[in-house]
Amino acid sequence: MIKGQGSIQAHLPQILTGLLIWGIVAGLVWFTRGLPYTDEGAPGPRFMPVLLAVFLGILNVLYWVDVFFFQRGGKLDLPRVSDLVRPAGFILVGVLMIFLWERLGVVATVLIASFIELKGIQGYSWTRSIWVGLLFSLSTWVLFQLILRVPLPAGPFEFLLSL
Amino acid sequence: METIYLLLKGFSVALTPENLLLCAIGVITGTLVGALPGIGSAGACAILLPATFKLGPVGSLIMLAGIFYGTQYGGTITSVLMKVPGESASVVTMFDGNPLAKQGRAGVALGLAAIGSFVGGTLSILGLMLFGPVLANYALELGPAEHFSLMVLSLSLVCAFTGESIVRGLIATCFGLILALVGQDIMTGQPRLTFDFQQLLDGIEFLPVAVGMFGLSETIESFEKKQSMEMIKADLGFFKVLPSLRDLGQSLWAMVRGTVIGFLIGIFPGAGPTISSFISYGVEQRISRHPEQFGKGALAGVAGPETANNAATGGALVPMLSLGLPSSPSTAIMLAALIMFGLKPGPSLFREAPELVWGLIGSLYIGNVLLVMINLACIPLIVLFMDRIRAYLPLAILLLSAFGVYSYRNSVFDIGIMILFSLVGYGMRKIEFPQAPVILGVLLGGPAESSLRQAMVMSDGNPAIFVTRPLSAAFLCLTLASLILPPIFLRKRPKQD
Repeated sequence: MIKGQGSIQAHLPQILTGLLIWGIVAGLVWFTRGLPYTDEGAPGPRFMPVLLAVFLGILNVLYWVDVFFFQRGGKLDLPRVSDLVRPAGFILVGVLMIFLWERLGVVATVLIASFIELKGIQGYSWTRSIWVGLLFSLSTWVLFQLILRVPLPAGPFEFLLSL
Repeated sequence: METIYLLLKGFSVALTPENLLLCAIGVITGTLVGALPGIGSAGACAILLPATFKLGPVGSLIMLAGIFYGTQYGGTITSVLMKVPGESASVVTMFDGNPLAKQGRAGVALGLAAIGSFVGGTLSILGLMLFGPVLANYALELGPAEHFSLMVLSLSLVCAFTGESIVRGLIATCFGLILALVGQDIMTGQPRLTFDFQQLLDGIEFLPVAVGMFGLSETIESFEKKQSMEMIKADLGFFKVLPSLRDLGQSLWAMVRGTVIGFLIGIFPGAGPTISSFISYGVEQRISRHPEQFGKGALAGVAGPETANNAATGGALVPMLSLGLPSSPSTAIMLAALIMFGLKPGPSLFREAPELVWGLIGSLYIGNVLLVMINLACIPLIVLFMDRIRAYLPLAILLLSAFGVYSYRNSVFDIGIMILFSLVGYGMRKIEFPQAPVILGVLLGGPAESSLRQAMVMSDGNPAIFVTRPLSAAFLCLTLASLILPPIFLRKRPKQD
């Protein structure tokens, strides 16, 4: 009998990981189906994806064997949902930056993102969040646009560049 | 004689005001990054790589290398004073460094660590100078089959040394290799796994993946953890951190042993500073006349590992410069920098770009001198700076990452890829999959596939070429050994604390 058979719930993250890996294996085979396996006798563009899919499939079986038979990696230090609020907020700030980057330009984007991160996630005061946000906003602009000459989007503030 | 001539030429490159400044910026950044928990050398190198594009290949590499070995110095400060290692390679230093600090000898611990780091770092560069060119000459004779087998060996060693499970390491490697498949096929030009995204035709860029997985994912995790970071108050003035002759005498042989251990282990892909510091600590404890003092403030327990982790950085540069093989995520990022500048990493680099290789070696000597001066003289300043900046670090990392990744191709898509891989990296940490193999897989995937297919073309599609050519067969045997032997040894070894 499999040692961990009675504790499927305890191994749920590993089961889900394994299923995800199976998904990647299937995806590799499926999404490269239109490519030739060989090219004039030598390996073609599909050779490596299929080779990797086979390896990954074998390794995934070994992964589950490792988890269920040898009980390795059984106790994961997974965060509670409440622990994930701040990390999720941080990621959302990143996503917001992508959304605003070209629409508002980087100066306004950094100001907004900094303010949300400092006030909303770290819990600093309004004044401190605004001042530090302004400082970050201007210093990144000076460093990347003026010193490193990276062409950054200015959004509605394009006219400032011509001043 | 030729080596001395080339080294002098390297010093003439490294001592130009611009390169000297970049070296100083690199080592100072490295020291601060190493001291700050939540961001490692790979993350810092990845985040700052785009900012070095305008500097040219020599300047860029000098700065990145400065960050790489500077972090090994900086990690010690928090290990000793806060019992929070800034870098994984400084975990061991905490065992004896923190008790020393509690005994009022923080200055001695930090001073010994700085001197040990200097000894290890400097002597390992000598090793790099001696072994690097020799290895590169041999490597020039390798054909595609040998190249492929060598890359497989390199990836397998990374799996063997990284994380607890080789299976998970191999899965992570496969994941990295799969990411490297995305884009136009190297030989036929057909789009592969691009899902009709124009931006993916050139493949998934290494930079957003590396920044996301190493820079941002660590920051995301730091939001989740609430570490207590109480600092031990200590007098860290210049004369307080200078160890006495007696202290130095007690630690001298530990430093010598640490240098040898660190350099040799650093050469192996995946091993690097962390493992070398642990092995050095184990060796020191085993051969000590007073093993009972370890964990309570033994000087050799600080000097040995600190020397070893810095010597490992010199060792890690040997395969990177002479074979074009990264042995750690940080060296992978330096290799990526070379590729981005249109250079071909590998054995021909010593011949085709001597000013780059020897300029880098020259800067390593200079950087180590700068670091020991900074670490002996400016520890109170570093501690004060860390205290002030810590609160704004996550935001600074997010902004620098986003700007850095954007500036590479002026593409918001790349920032999206970075955010995506920060989530992937965070998820991998949580389910205990190592991230280093993914990064190395992304970097080596293209060249490995290219070598595999070239070798198969040479042999008319016969895979036997990999086992009939002696050197290739030897590399593959070593690959098998690296995958089979560690679990056997681990099982036979009695369980110890």
